[in-house]
Amino acid sequence: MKKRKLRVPAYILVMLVAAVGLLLFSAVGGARAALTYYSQVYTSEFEMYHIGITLLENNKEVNWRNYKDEAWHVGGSERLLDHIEEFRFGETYDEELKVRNSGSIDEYIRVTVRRYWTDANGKKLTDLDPDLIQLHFTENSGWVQDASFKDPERTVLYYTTPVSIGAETAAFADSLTVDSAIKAKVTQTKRQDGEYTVITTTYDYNGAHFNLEVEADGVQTHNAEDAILSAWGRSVSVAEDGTLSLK
Amino acid sequence: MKKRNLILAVLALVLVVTVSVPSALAYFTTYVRAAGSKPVHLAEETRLKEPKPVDWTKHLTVTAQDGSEPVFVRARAFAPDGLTLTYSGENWTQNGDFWYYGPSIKGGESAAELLIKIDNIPQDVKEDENFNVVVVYECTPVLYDAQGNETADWNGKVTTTTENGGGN
Repeated sequence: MKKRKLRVPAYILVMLVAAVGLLLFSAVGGARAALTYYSQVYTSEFEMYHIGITLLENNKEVNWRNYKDEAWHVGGSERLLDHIEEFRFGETYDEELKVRNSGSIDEYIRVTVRRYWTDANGKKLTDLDPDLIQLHFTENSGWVQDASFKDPERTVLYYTTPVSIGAETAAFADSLTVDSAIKAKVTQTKRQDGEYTVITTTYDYNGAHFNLEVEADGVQTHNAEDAILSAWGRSVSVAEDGTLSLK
Repeated sequence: MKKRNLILAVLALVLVVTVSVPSALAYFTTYVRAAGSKPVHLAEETRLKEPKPVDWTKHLTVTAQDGSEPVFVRARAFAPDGLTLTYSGENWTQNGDFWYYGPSIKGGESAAELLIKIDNIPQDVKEDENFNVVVVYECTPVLYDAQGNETADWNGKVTTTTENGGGN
């Protein structure tokens, strides 16, 4: 019986071998990383998983998400701006926003702030100016803004130092003002009604809602550069003292 | 043979893709989100009541309708040559060509009357003779500074249309 010869193109074989090699190599790499990680904190094995984060508005816990006892614990009202009862344009309201490490491992933290307008049904009104929603970001407070984002709606800030267990970041924002310039965007009609002259003012922003949205992200400090790149998609440098800078 | 090659190629591709799956799953991450929203209710209608003059004096009343945003108002009048006008009224003060009402007018409230007296009436004027004294009044929404104090911006550009051919 004549033996059939398997004819496989060379490039297929090369790809197959490369793929198997890569797969094996990556598995070994993962195992090595895991071994390194666990071996360093061997005595506190269960604590390692307890990552957590809490967003605070004017020192009040708004929302938190903590991993504990092999489950995520999520709580809080998830609502911002509830402390503003009588809202007036141009007036400045306290809006101190910061983040607490409510987990059991140190972490790096970033926040993403979105400001935008919606109609009564929640549909985004992109023709209204988000810059009129003026959240005042603090300066020299340890937060660095990611200037690579050119989106007027979105601001991304990174806290440059790792936040230890139970500690809080400095506030990344401290006040909110909605520019009263929106009241100047009006159309007036004038008409005669008997002995009355009637001026009716129609505001462009009438019926709109201004929105403030904050997302805070936490990531482990171990292998921070790789972790941040992988989890947040951002290249950063971490100095020996733990200081983070954007690349 | 071709089929087998194809299978092997797909297998190789799948393995390569598998290798490139992000290792993010290996990292500990967490996040929280919170959001807030406030509606903007802005509506405004002001009415200037300008009845016939009594004793050569116009009595002007400006009212902001219920539900209106607070507004500031100002007014001035134009008289034919030879006539002069004298203004008076509680909380009305002159600044340049206009007379300004001091406090803002909230929805449902009225400003104190602005009196505009026509002086230098000719001796031979008849009782039913008309003088074309035109009153112009303007309103602007109340703005607030950072401390919550009321301010007005009279220099803002506003598109104004006049209906029914009327209006002063």
